[in-house]
Amino acid sequence: MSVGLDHPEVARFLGRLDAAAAVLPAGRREELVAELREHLRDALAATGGDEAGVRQALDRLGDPADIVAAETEGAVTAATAAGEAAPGAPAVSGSVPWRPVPTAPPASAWGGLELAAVLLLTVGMVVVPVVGPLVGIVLVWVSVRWTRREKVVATALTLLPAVVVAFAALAVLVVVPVTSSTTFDGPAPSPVVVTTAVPAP
Amino acid sequence: MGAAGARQVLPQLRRGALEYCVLALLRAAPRYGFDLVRELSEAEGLLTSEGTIYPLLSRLRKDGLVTTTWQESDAGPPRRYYALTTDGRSALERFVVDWRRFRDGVDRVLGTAPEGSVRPGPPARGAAGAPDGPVAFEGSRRCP
Repeated sequence: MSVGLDHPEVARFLGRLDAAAAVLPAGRREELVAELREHLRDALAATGGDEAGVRQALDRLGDPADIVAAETEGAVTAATAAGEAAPGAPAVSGSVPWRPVPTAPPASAWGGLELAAVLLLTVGMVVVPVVGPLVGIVLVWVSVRWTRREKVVATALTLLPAVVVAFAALAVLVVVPVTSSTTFDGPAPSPVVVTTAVPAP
Repeated sequence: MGAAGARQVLPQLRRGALEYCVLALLRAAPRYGFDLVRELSEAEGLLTSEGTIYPLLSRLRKDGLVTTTWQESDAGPPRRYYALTTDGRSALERFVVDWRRFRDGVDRVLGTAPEGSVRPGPPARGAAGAPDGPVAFEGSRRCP
């Protein structure tokens, strides 16, 4: 055989294949290239080694990008079939370790809904006192852009003033009668707290 | 559903059947890549690009249906041979049964069954029913 793997066309094919296979894990990349080198060695030996034979052997193999695509495409479908959520799909033994993980583009934390929520929780608190913040909290929890943690923080920050006011009011109600009752030093402790608060009219 | 829709059918059919054709070619003896690919190319419409058979072989190997062995060649360095595993053999047997059933069903509906064949079922070739029982466990194996 006069034509080997060092033929420029063949070398170019193998170079493109190796480059395309960079997306595969290291072990599989070398293996795939080695398999195709072997294939080409046999194919070139079978053609008799003229230029037309080289071209034909390469044409029959197909585009390197397509070969690598078949590698990852198959991996993805096999992994999907093996996935726990796939309904009715037969499980594949030995699931695929080297599926390229598709990374979702990071969505911005701000959309129209989020902006409206924050406005309602801040400005809305003054403009539409009770309804504004309540609607704001609903919007916060409806948002798909914010994490659960962020939603909890937003809700807590909104409710905090209300809670503080409520506690302050309670404290005043409790502390004032208690201090006054201690000065009596007499027989009427805590129940008086309630009675002093209630029969005002 | 025009010509474009119809063209899509063949790749779908090929995808399901090709891996079992590979297994079938390894039934008698292990083969090396080029040998396997040329044999597949003989069959009309089975293989579009020869290179994509190697990703398929890799998948079959991961699924435990095929193994790789090295064998000396008469000329040049040792060759990578692909061989059928026990799992691969039973997966193939199961597919043969499934395929006959499927093909006969489609033929019956399309009216494309060969003249000589018996309508109610496939001509009894004896072996068809045999692997069903013991292989039933293999149901989890991948199937088109």
